Amino acid sequence: MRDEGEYREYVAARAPALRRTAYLLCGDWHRAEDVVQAVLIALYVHPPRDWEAVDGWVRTALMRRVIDESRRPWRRERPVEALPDTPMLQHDSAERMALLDALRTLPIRQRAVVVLRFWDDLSVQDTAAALDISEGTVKSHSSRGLAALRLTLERTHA
Amino acid sequence: MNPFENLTLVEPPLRISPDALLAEGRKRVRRHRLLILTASPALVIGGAGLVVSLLTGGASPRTDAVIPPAGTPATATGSTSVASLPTDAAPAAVLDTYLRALRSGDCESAHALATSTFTAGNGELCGHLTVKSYTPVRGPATPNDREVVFATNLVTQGGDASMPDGLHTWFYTLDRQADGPWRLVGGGSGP
Repeated sequence: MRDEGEYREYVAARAPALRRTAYLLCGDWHRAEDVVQAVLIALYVHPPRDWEAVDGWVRTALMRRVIDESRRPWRRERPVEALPDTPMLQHDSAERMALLDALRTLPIRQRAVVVLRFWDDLSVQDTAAALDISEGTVKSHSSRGLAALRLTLERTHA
Repeated sequence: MNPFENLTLVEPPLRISPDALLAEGRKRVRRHRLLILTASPALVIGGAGLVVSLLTGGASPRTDAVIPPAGTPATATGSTSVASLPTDAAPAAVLDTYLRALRSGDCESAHALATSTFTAGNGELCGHLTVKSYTPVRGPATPNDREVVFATNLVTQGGDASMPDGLHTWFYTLDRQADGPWRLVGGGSGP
């Protein structure tokens, strides 16, 4: 980061997309915003040495924080058969809610792989780097995640 | 198959402001520098003491005693209970009393020394794991006259993967309330 103006521009440009990614991972807009804010503050305090690599740095930090948060005892996620009712926004379509609900049934790492690969359009290599896992693991999580999503959506529509 | 192909998210308004993040970032950088300035000499002295103690075979220092920072009133030490804690108690005394309550698992007393912002996920550990001992690091950081940040070494047990058993450095932030007393407002693994 050369100056604070550059940081300000980066935050303004990237915060909306980062929040969307975080939302798909945690399923809660407020938590997503909190996580993104924490990551962007950490970016100011400990910026990467090479500012060109900032996107990768932020992505990795975001993934770590979301995954860590999901493991904390007071926020630990537990897979359940039936999801509790969640408040729907006015224009949420049934299809959208079904997809988001199905996504929430995936284990957190599998969900992270699916979101990075198919929402953020990252390559297998970049996804592996963001999650600090091997490319083989990305492929297997991706394949299993998609299969599980497809199955859940089919059950929903049946 | 791309499951998100036709997905459009309906988003609430974004509340993230670059200026607010910048202000918070600057504040944390200042705190971080203050902590390094105040905590580093204490860690060096503590480390040297431990080495000397090990070499001479002496008793290891107590891990459950508060080392009051310079200038702290005498009330900062001793077994002060929550009920007898004066409203003008020094922040070190408030933290000391809190830590005693935390170690004994008395979460009700511990919560009495904190504001509503001091919750699980924002520094509060009481009720979530066991704190076997604590050792505050000498010399808190004081970003301003209404805020104090203490670094405390905790030995914990019964946590999960995010907080495995063993030694952790835990930071506690206390703010002076509008009506006078110092209270815990937040904390965590980073200042």
